[in-house]
Amino acid sequence: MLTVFIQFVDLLKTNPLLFLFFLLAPEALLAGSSDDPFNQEKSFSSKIEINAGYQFSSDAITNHLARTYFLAGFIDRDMKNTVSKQLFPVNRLGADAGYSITYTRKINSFLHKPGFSWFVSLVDQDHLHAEFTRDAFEIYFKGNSAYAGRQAELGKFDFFLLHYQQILFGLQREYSCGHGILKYEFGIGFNKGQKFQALHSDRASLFTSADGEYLDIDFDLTLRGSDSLKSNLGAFNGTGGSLQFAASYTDEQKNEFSFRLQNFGFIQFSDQSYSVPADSNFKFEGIDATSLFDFSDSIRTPVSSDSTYVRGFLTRRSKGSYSCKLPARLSVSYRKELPDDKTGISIGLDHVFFTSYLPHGWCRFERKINNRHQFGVIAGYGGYTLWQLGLSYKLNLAGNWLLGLESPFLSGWLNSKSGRAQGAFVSLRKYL
Amino acid sequence: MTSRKTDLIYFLHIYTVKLSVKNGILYFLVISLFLSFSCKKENERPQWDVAVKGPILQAALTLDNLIADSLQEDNPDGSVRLVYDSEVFKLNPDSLFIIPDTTLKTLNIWQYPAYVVQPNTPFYSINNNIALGISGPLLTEVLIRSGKITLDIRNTLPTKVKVTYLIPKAFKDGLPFKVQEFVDSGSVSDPGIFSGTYDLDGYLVDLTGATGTQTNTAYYNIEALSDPAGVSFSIQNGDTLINLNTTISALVPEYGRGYLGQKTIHQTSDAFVGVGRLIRSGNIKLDSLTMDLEIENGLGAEIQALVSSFISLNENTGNTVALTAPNVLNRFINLNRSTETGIASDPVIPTYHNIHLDNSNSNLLALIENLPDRFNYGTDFSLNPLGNVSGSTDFLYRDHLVKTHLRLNMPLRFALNQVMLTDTQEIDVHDLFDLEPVGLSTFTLLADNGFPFEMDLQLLLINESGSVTDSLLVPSRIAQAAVDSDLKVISSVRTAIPIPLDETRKQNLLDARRMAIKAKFTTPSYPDLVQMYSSYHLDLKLIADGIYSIR
Repeated sequence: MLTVFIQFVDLLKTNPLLFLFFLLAPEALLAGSSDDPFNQEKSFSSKIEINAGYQFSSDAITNHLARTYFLAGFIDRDMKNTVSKQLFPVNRLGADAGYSITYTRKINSFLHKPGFSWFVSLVDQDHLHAEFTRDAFEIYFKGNSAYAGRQAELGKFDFFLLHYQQILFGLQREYSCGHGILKYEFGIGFNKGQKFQALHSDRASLFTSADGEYLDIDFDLTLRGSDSLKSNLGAFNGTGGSLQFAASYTDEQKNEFSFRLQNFGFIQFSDQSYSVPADSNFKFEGIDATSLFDFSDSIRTPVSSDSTYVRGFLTRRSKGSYSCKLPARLSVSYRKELPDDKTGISIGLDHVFFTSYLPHGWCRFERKINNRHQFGVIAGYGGYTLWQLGLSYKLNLAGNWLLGLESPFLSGWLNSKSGRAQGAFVSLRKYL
Repeated sequence: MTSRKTDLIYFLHIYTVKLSVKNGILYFLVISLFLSFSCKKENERPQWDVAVKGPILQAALTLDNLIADSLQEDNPDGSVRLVYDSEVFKLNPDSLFIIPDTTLKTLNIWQYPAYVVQPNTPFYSINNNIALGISGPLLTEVLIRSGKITLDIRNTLPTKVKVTYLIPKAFKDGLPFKVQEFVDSGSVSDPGIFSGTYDLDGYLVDLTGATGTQTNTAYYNIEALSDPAGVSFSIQNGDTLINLNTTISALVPEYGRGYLGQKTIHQTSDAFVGVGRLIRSGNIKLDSLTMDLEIENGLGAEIQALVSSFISLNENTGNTVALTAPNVLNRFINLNRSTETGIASDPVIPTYHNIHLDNSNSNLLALIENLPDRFNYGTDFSLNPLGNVSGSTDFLYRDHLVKTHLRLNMPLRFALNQVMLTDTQEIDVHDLFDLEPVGLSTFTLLADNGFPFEMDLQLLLINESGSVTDSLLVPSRIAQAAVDSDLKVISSVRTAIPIPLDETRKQNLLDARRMAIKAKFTTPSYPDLVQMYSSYHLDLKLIADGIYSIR
């Protein structure tokens, strides 16, 4: 809660008017059209769609540092200093990468009612999120030298990495309701857990004495992970389920109100998952090397760092099943399509539960140039990062193809040094 | 990476234009390809440098690290005295007597008219003595700790023969030593052969022979019996009735009784002390000390001991100091015989004689201040100096002979002047920590000295070829603790010695295979004596402050 507060205070300080614009005045916006701006859906009975993309975003970590880290490059002082200037007392980052393929088919009736479609999706998804203090970053990337004589607060700390596959079955219905059109959708997914790693700490601190004579280390953390012997695509380390629900209503003035809950579920990882709890408070004064100076005995005990570093708390490793919740996204939005049938404006708010994500407000402006091209501009605030500005493009190709490109974080491309988010998504749809 | 990315963007642009309206799948593939190429890793892991500050090593040195705790004893006030207790002489049992390996041949050839032997009929029997060849003592009884007897039999008779070998006066668990074996039939050209070796461990053997009046002589009996399941056969003139070799070997006595004889055993030997090897140079002044030399006689015979020499040898300097003690050296010391208890686990009550030396009756102080590596000594032990006064009831138990204990006792109160202790340690920095990622740093040695002497501590790195490549501590002086007027420590004093680490020193550390440790000690106001207390200690800490590369 503290972190949420800090983020919103920051938002209010930076631009309270825009914040209010997003949250308090949706009726001032106009809304747009459906998913396919070229309205090809009605002419075909089925479609197949492939989606792929990734995003990284943080309120502190720059793209430059994150990219260098994930691509195992050398992180120089400038990169670290750039992040240091942007650090909050508590910071967060999130990353997702994945792809999916979805097949949707209309059916004439279901339970004697028209307007139904069924769909099936196959998804492969990587997810990572973390929450960390300013000191944790400084200690991890810069070392403890600057903390001589003071305490570094390293907790609360959270790191969570998940890789899973999902097969999703669902039904959609679209029908006239009153003077408008109501759409709703329900899906149920079966999840296969490939890998997870989690590190959670409620309390962690490191005190470095002024002269470096000792370190006071205090922590309470739990390290968890799936079976480390099996982590490839075929690894079946856990199973679970998830639900998806969405509904939207479009009135005759083309005002569309939407609600969507995605990926509300869990994965129960197998009993081969490990858990390493560690709760300790100790003073480290160096490895005991007394035997090096033992003149009295010709038999010396070798000096070993193992006995010092590998303490009892690191050996309390246990195995057991573990249930982890999937990042579940809840979003609400409003869209208005202008009378020219070319322009649409949307506004929305979403949140990803069970992660370090913060409520995310966004606004999208889209305009069709002709029957082939649509361009869009996206602006937002929140999530794992702060301000965002992005672009989207949709291309209606011959042969009933629809190509979509989107990057919600232009800063990743324009400001390679200090930008804090990047992402790219591509989708390809074929109407059959 | 950047140029690769630029190329791909160009590639993407060209093909986007060409394929823009033809096939969306190609769009998708091209973009996906771009994204995947953008994700090539540069290294196995991300890399960065951190500035770290913290403790690396610590050591808490007490007197136990300088002097083995087995040599120390604490007084009630915490002051420490040095006690060296060691067995410096033990009579070698083989110097009293040994039982040599002995072989005896038993051969009998029939020189009479032929006669017929029926099955299962004894046709040869003999009682015989075997002298054990013991030189000096005249033993009547011996308990064998270990030993073997080997029988080699050759049979030229045309029938199988059953041979019984008996030592009637050798008992174990109440039974005499007895062997019964069959030897196959044979001929002169192709004899039947038997060979067998048997343990004599634990046998108590009477050595008074067949008559019971001899010494060092065992008595045995051999009987030959025709095959009980065979047929009658004829013994002709010239036939060999028995051809048997008895070999007694590797006999080690556990106990012997009889007359041990008169003998003088001169023994020169040395006892390792090792002080000089540790202390390479300097001067030591000691307070006082005593030395007790205790001679223990576990023999069942009188002995007369004579200490002819006792020399302190410093192998480092080559200096020797001979003991001067008119009341002890070259004077006969008589020890009565021990007595038997009849208890197997503790069979002997020894007799003792103690020689006490101190500053008043010897030059013991000079002997120890020589910092000996070894004590060389010469002793004479005369056995039964008055002859066979016991009526041949002397005894010996192998583990209870004659031995001498040396007990040196001195207060750990001394004055040191530039006394240098040296030692060399095998080291492998790789085992201790990974030094490769350590960048430009400064290590600091913090020494909290609670000893009343200053130290000059040097840690020298030695590479594989034995060359000293670096001296880690410059300056190397560690200040002494604060002391009162009695030179007793009031409080520790801290000395900080910076040890810069650059690339050269890092390489020296990585190449080091050994570390020579030289510690030079000087007490305040030499030659004033300083008492050591068990609470004195030196705390060392190595602190790092520098760059570490995460790899």
